Amino acid sequence: MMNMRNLKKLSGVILFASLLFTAACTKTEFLPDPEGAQVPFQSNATQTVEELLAASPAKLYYSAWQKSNIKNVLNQKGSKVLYTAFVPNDAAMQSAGLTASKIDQMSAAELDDFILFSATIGQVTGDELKLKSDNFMVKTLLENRDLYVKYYENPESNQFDYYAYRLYVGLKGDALLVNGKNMGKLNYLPATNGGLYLMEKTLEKPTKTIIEALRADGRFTMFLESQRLADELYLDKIASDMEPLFGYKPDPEETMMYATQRLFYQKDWDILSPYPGYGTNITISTLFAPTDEAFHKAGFQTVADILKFNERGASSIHFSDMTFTDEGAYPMDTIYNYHRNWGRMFQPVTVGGDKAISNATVFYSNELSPRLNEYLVSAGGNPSIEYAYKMPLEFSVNNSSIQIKVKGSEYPAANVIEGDINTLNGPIHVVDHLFIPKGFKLN
Amino acid sequence: MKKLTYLFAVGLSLLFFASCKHDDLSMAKPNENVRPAADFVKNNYEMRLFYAALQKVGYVDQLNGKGPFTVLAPTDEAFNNLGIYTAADFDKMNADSLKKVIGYHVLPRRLRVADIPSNGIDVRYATLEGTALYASAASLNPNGGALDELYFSGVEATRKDVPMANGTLHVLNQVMKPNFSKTIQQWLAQHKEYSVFVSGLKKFGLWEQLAVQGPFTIFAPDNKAMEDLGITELSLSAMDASKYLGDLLFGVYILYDRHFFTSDGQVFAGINSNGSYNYYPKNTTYYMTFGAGKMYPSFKLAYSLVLRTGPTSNDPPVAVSGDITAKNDNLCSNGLVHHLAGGLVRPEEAIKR
Amino acid sequence: MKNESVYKRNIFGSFKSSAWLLAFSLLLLASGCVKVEYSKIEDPAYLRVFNNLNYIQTLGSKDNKVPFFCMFINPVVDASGMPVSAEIVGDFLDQRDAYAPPYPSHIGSSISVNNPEYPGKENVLVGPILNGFDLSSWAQVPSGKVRIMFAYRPKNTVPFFQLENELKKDILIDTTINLTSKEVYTLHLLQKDFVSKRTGILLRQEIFQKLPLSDSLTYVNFYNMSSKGYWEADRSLKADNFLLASFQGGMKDDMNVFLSLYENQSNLLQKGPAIAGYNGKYLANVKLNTSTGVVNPYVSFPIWASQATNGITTNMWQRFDFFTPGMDITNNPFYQGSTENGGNWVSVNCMQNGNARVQFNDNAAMLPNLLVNIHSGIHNPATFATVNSIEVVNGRIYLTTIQRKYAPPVY
Repeated sequence: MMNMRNLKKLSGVILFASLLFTAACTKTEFLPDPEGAQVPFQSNATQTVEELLAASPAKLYYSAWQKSNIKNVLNQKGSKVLYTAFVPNDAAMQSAGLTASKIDQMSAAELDDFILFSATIGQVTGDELKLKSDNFMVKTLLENRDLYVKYYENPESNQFDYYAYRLYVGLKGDALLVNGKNMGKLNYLPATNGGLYLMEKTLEKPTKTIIEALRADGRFTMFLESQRLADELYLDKIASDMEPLFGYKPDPEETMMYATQRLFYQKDWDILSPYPGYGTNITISTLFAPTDEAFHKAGFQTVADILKFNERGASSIHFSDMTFTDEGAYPMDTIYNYHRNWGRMFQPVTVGGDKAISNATVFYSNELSPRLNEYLVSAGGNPSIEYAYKMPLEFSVNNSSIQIKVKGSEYPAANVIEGDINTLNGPIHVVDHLFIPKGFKLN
Repeated sequence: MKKLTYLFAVGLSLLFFASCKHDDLSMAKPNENVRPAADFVKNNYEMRLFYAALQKVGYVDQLNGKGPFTVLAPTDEAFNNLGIYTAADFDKMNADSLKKVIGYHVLPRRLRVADIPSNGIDVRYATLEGTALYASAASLNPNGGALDELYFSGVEATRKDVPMANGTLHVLNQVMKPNFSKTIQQWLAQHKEYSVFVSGLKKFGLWEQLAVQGPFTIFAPDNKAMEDLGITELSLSAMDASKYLGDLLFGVYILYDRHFFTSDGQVFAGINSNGSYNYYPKNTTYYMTFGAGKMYPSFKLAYSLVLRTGPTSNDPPVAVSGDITAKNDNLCSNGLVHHLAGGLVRPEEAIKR
Repeated sequence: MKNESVYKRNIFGSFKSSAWLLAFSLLLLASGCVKVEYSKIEDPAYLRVFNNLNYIQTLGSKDNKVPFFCMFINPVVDASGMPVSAEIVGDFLDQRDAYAPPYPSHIGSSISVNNPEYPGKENVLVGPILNGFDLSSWAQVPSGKVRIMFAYRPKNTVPFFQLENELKKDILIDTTINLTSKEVYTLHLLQKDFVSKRTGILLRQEIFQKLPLSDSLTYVNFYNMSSKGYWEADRSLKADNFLLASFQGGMKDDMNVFLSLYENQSNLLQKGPAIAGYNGKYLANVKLNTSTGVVNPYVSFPIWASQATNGITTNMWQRFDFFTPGMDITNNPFYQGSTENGGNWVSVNCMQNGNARVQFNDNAAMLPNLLVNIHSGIHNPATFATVNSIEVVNGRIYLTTIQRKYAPPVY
């Protein structure tokens, strides 16, 4: 009897226990096992920029570096800041006359000019240059505090930025181009706090404005003189028109204040002074300068020929008392506008007189290619996007020679015979024909 | 006692099995007060004309029988808009075509609002007549808020999901105007009020294409509208076709490759906040904006056309509207025809330069 | 003797009762145990599917079908071409969400069946932790040559195989793809040509798990998978959604991407100054490509770039500006808030969870921050570097983030 009872109890217990077991079964969704291990990261940069400089074949540059103020400038930006330097090697420094003794003689300001012009905050890696089809705009550490450009990141004021010298860096094959000039084979060394490019030539800082460069060159006498004289005649005519309204004939300076729609001879080729306190005082764009030969080929042998040709349009010039500004232009102004200002004279205007704002148009010769043909020369601003102004010039490349003409024109295309004359107002490319638009009559 | 507990245990375990699965069943409760479809229409004071039509074509018994049916019932006012005021007016119409049109207003299935895909556009459902109609539902606005508008072949269903014993019913505020296998060309030729427009299309070589597959949307100006522009049968016959741009003078009323109901503008304004369509009329540089929807102040479905000489042109635009709802949305086999009470282009503007 | 028989009967009876009890409890077990069929996939490949057909129906495009699909892998079709079953079914495949998170976080919070991606909300076998990366957003699928099919389906809650027969026959894509086992793939259903409405698929084999990536750098690559002819098309054919800002009209086929890093993503009133060296910094070039599944190169930026960070967490946020080549970000002719730029300038801010509306004048679309801030270990929050893909499809921009498995939070 005891056995029976025990057996019963036992079976009951077993039953109860098995029930508990099954109820206690937790059903977890199984996760697959982890696979593989993290691929270890090895940076290919082990030294800082300074260490790389010390070990590189750019000892002259490094000595100038150490003498200059660049370390303080970099420290001001922060302790973690990355920077990139464009370093000419010793052979390049020697051939540019920057020997060790010359460096010793250079003043602090000159050293800063030289070193700060070659360095920038932020990384510019060789891979990034390979991916970019246009030039990489590098803002160097060298500023010119007399020149003001459009506001972007000035911590002091949101009305302007200080002008910083720029390097437009690109690649052509495996050569490094800075501001359109070949600096030798691409040799980028990454560093833990940035990187450096070893170059086979020195950098040239632009010092002249366009007008100074054109005057000093000597090939553009007709281009300069004809515009100067045309401006004088224009101002004279406008002043005569203003005389009955004002009671006296204003002098050329005063007349220019009212004649706002004309692109005067010096207007975008120089520095505007005095500075009005906001906005820019220097226009930076690209100029296609025609040589005197170009004028000869178009049938103008002397400046007098050009002025005579202008006379046929002189009747359109007048001072309007409705808009209280000047109206009309000479025929040659059309051609000059394509050389100087990308033909913006003909950009679409809204009913209210609004135009799109000028877009960035700094192009060095390695960027002058058919890719530019769809570029918007002016866009944005108050008008809607339909009023944007597409590139009116047509670029083509034949066996590494660049040809430019106005779209649809029947006149011969111009060749760029020398490119990348760098100035404070941007690059000058020398062309051998005039840009004459479609349907323009030269006789 | 023990037997009872065992039975109880077995019963419990059977219950476990039974309780495990649940099919989602939603059944409408049978309600003795709900009538079958034809009887409902008969007893409805605003559907007397529709019932008279059902009687005339002989659908009453079918619609009282086993369903399921979805009845799209136009109100009496809807029939009035077509010029039908009494049951006797139906006798003036061709019996066969009346049967087809009434058959088009019944679907041989139960179609409630919830069965139509949300924001569905031009969803086809077969009708009793055989052709499939177009259902467009504006259910959700872009922020996910409810809109609750439903259109059948361009006509709004103002009251929806009325339960029947053998289906459901939606009330329409216009009569749907299907023309079945009739092409736009045949339709226009039969309607004398567009005769000047038809002559113009023939003169400029735009007529033949309207007999073949489109789709087209035609905004047909009536003869009065053409006369206001200075175009009559007489002046047309005197016109030298080679001196005028036919694509501008008459082609501007043709929208190629699209079939728009007037209700489409209202539907898209709801689901996408954009009920208008901009296009260049074929072979012209002009720029047309088509907008449609419930127009202020009557909030009846209407459409408008605004014609400019170019997309950024500052010339004053020409605007006309088609707001006689009953004359719009004529559904043909290859497109739609809408009525236009004003013209767009004067002959002087269309002279070739 | 009598007792024995009584006892025998008792024993027999008690055995009977315990046997009954045993049988009864086994019945309980049988009904109470939920048996889930976890079919194991041999040699799986890891797949994630996105529906990039993001066109909004406009009046001009009303004849386009609603892009709502059911995806089948290795389907079984009947004689009329209608699918009756499939090895892998991804039903209710809706247009993709702007953000594809590293792990399926929207499962728990969803209130509809619509799935913004596959696997998304589906309860299927997922990828393992591969080389440290959390692949729980990728599904395991059979490898080798697989047949893949996308069928249009009406936008309701009826599962595909229970629809009426006429509705199951609208097949958009029916093709085979080749998957290698243990590789990571993303499959995109997209529109290749905006004018002709031609659609297709793009299969991309991801390689991020094989790259040597640093834990203190965040990586991102860019794709432009728009339809050919989208940005040139007329305004009335495109969605009108102010939240898409400058992206609405599309962007041109060749764009440069610039990065700006800002300090504090909690400040919605003003951008604040940018971090030194990262103000309009050129990062990458992105070209239109819907034909090849090539992986665009990854570019990186340091997560501890800000001066005000302690190495554990950072509030830094990112802005990407896309400009057409030739344009200079420091000399931008468009106004700051300009959204209709003809495809020449589009921008996106990556801050917080992607839904914050900034209060300053801006033309950027919104995406979540590329850096993941989450409670891990004892730090709440801790910032983790991620690997991201930013994809531009027509007027919309999408972010896919992949993260390494991080330590669980300690409370």
